[in-house]
Amino acid sequence: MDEGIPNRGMNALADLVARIASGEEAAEEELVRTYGRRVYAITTARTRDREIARDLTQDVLLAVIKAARANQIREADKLEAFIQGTAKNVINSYFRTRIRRSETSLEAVSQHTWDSVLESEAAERRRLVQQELERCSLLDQQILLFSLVDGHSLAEVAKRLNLSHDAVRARKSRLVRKMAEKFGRMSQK
Amino acid sequence: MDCERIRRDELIERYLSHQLEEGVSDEFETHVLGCPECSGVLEELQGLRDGLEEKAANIRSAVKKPSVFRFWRQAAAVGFAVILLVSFGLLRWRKAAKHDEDPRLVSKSPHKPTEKVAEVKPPPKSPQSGLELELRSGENSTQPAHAHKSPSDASVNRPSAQPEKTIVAKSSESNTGTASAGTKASSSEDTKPKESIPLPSTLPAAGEGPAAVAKNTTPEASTDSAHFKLTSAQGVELFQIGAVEAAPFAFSGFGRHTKDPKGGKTDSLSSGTVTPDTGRVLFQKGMTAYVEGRYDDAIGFLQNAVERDKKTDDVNFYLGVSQILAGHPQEAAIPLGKVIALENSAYLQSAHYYLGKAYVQQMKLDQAESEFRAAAALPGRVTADSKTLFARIAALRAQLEAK
Repeated sequence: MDEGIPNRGMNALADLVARIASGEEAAEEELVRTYGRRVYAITTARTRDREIARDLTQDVLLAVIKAARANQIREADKLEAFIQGTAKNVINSYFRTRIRRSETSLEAVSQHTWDSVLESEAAERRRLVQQELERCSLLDQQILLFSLVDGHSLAEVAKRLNLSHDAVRARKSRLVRKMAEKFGRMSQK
Repeated sequence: MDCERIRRDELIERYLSHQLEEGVSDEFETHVLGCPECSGVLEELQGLRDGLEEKAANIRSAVKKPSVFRFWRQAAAVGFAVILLVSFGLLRWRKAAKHDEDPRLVSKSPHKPTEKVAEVKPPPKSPQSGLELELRSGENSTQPAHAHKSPSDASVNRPSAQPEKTIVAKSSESNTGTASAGTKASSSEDTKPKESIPLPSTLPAAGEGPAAVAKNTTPEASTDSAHFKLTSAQGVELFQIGAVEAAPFAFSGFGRHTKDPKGGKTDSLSSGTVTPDTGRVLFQKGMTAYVEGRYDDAIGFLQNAVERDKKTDDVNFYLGVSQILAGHPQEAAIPLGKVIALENSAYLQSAHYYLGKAYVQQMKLDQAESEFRAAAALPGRVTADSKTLFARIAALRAQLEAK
């Protein structure tokens, strides 16, 4: 998955923020590399539009880096909560205005912006996931559709399909695990 | 928050369906930002969701097939019963005729042959329907005009293709009327449309902004009427476009709201409970009724919930959807309009979508088109569906206006 600082401790987060504040460019890159995909996942989930999510991810990362540079992150050990709050504000602001953000204020941090390679990789992965979906049985597709798209709980899905709750849970877990094994590797390269 | 809870409570799935409470959603996102494992699963499920959204129509249509077979099985059973009745009637008639011919039997038996007519009553119309199609030619449709689906049903019933017929359709006279003020359409054997009255031109043009749309959803603005002729195929198309599927709902995050023991009065609809009826408690009760398909009950609870807490978009949204599902599409405009007026609601797209359905059921096709267009322009669960419906309704309007 992401390189950089998986499960890093609070001190390491504070250290990362301090390094950015001191002007270390590598620290900014590390932040983008670590959190870029995760922020993208959040913006995509909230907006359900990958194009918009890409722009918003960029805005979030820029805002975080700028805040870190200006030493405005008060509790540096809670960097993730800060990123989450920033992401939420940026997304809400987008929904309020519905105007695509301009990228005029990228300044020097533009070189650390959202990686287009990662984005195209994600697109390829979606294509493969769709291919894999074609191979699933109709029942499995229904389970995933009702659960992931329609938002029904597994208990509700089980009721709708006349299956036991355990059977639905097992089928779904198996499918997700299978997909993760097949395509998860790709994202870890 | 930890990974175990996320798996156990299906938080990723709920998060992707926008069903988490805001506080839980914030916690979840913070966790995901720091957890490579959960962020990986989130990405996987997002990819799956994207793939599923594209295939959703195919999967759903595959699910619907059994209901088509069920329809034909039922039709065959009804046909078989009719044949049996007719045969039995004929047999009795012939027996009685023999009695009449035989003078010995006539004197013994007072029985006279009676004419038997096999009569098949049309199925009851759906009480939830805002648009009713009535076939005058004597053919019976075993499907209700608009079949609604409760959240627990697997499919939406759709009508089978009919031979070309003319159907006269007209919109309700007033939107502020009662629940029965739906649209009535009828068809005759005549396959040539006799005359067409054009669609009203006073309805708002497609593509109006959300504010204008919200304005148009007030009852005063919705008193237009349309009266025009549809062919059978057009009627079926309209029927399919107007078919409503209950918006999904999952109970999550109610715990924190229902705990509040301080405020609220006990509501008449909630007798037998000791929990005070705050807006959220009423909402929960309403949604319980909604999930169980008791839409009239749901409306009662949700209306009370709205009175207590006017700015909740979820309450207004599900109230609007319940109104449609309960067969009062004309009542749906106000709550759904409130959601749309908020502009940044998570239910914005769905509100446009369902309002479009409500307008279709009221035969307000240009307003419906406008709503579907607005829904299609927004990102969300029903983007693809809205685009399709927008195209279909635009095509249908073009056909009608060409006449």
